[in-house]
Amino acid sequence: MTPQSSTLTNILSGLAAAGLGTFIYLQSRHLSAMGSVFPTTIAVALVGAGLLLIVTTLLRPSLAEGSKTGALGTDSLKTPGRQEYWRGVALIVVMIAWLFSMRYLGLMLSGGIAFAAIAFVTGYGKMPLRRLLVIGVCGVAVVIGFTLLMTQALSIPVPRGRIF
Amino acid sequence: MESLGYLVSALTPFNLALALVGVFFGALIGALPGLSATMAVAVLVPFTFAMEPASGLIMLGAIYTGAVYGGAFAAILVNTPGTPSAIATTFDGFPMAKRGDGALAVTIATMSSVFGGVVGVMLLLLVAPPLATVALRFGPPEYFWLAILGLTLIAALSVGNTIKGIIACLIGLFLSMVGVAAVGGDVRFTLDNPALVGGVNVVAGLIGIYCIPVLIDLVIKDEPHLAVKEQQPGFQFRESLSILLGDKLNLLRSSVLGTLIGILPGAGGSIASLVSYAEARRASKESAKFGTGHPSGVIATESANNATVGGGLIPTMVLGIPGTPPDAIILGALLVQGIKIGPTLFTEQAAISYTFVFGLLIATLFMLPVGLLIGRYAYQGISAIPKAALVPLIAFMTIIGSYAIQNNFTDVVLMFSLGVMSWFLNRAGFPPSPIALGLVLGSIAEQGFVQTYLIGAAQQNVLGRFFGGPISIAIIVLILFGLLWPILQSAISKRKRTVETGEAQ
Repeated sequence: MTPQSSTLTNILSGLAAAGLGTFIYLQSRHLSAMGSVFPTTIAVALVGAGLLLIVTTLLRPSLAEGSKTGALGTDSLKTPGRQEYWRGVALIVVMIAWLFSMRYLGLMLSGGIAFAAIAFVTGYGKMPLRRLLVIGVCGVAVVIGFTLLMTQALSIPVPRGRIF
Repeated sequence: MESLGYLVSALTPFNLALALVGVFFGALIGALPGLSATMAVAVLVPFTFAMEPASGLIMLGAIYTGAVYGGAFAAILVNTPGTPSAIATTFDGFPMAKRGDGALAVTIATMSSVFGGVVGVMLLLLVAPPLATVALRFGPPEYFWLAILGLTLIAALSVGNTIKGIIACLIGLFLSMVGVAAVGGDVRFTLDNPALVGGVNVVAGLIGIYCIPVLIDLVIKDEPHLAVKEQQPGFQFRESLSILLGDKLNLLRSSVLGTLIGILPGAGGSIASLVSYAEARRASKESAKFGTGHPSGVIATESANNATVGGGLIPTMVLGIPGTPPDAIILGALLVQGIKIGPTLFTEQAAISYTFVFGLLIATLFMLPVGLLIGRYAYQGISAIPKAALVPLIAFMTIIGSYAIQNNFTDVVLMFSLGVMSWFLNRAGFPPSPIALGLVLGSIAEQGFVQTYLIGAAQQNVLGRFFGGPISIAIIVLILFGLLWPILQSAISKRKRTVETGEAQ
């Protein structure tokens, strides 16, 4: 990211935080005194922190770029290797489809299909198609085995669909 | 001498086998995100009803301690806390694994867990009754300040931009408020969606916040998920031991802190490990290295979370008040076995209670060989699995794990939504850990705050309620010390430098 885009990200983030704070504040007005005291405090703090982020970014733009790294858990920002965003989008789409289809197909069938699809999204172009197919087939077996382990051995229910 | 007899009773081949099997299965279940220690104990509790009381309890204790420890595997190897108490293990454990020191991190986590577990059990054995009475003195204001103490960790979690860390934490606190209010019963921020009335489940939220961003990053990045050293170094037992001995103060402090926090009902391993991590970072001379793969971070969190096992059993066994959710299930098992809970447990039913405690001690020691073996092959296994198989496998575990918590589809949807949100926030520089911190501590902080306010208002002494109690004052001093220490530290070192420069001239 360029410093300009980081500055823009920070300003938009600050506005979003202030917007969320305003939403919480407005919603809290309909609550009882006991139920609203904590949310109101959080709302005021969010608005304040959001505005502070905007002000500090505008006053010291160099901080915007520096703030992109350093915090615990922001590892992904520290390793600027080649990134293929279409794979991330495809993964999100497959998982959304998985969540929606699970109610109809059940965990085992939808899980098997999703496993193969995610393996394809992750490995496409990086490994031979035959190896990818083998991984997909093994994955389906893992899904079936794991589902049976959960339901039969551990008695932990798994999502059931309308078809299965 | 009498105690020796109980130790011998715990050492029967059957009890030893139960402890070994319990630790093994506990560690496996704990390693799977979403399958918590509570679930491990709850699922296996019916099997213990047919056993002798002491044997059944030994197995439950072994599963519990194994599951708390097992959370470290997923935290270190795939940056996903297997259990909430392993959140802070991800901070330094995963960076260690990424640079090829995964086996070392697992061995350090194993040895720290064993040490912390032993300290917790020894305190349970030696000073349970007086410590349990201290726990009773914790009221709403003390819990509120304890939660605030945990929240001060934001400063450590958001190096680079504290404002973003604070915003992330506030988002976590907001998420903890969704649903029915703990005090007053207001239904809040559900957008008229009945599915949100139950609120955001903490475990499902944690799985989403930590797991989904990892999955997306694994998919979009063209690099191996874990670095593998060409020469496999084995268990690295000696190296780990020397690191632990070099950091013995941190190890001991974190274990004692973990035990003390474990005693407090509702606090649990997540708070214990976060507070211990913060203290370790604060006290370390290399605090800047925390979060980049510093072994001291792993030592602090893993010793603290396993120490909560013994700590949580102190109020459970002495007062009948469970310290943590798995303790509540163990308490139920104790009652089913016909054991009378209370201060007389260690005198009138000494045979069962001492055999159980010694059994727990043995199970904790078993974690060393079991953990080293599982850890070694888990690291090698996960680093050898191709990404195309690992990513769908983790995705499957996140779905099944978040569903299994309450058999609720809403938890799965929330888990995924929060995960995608967390990835976007992460890209914008908002770290995930303060969000998790706010989510975990939000309800404790709100409940403590509102209850203290109500009691204070009824007594017309709100400030006195918040700031009057000796325990509250002690925690407030700790908070202030924690917040001001970095400033003091830099002022002291600046002064030292000035004096040294003056002397040199």
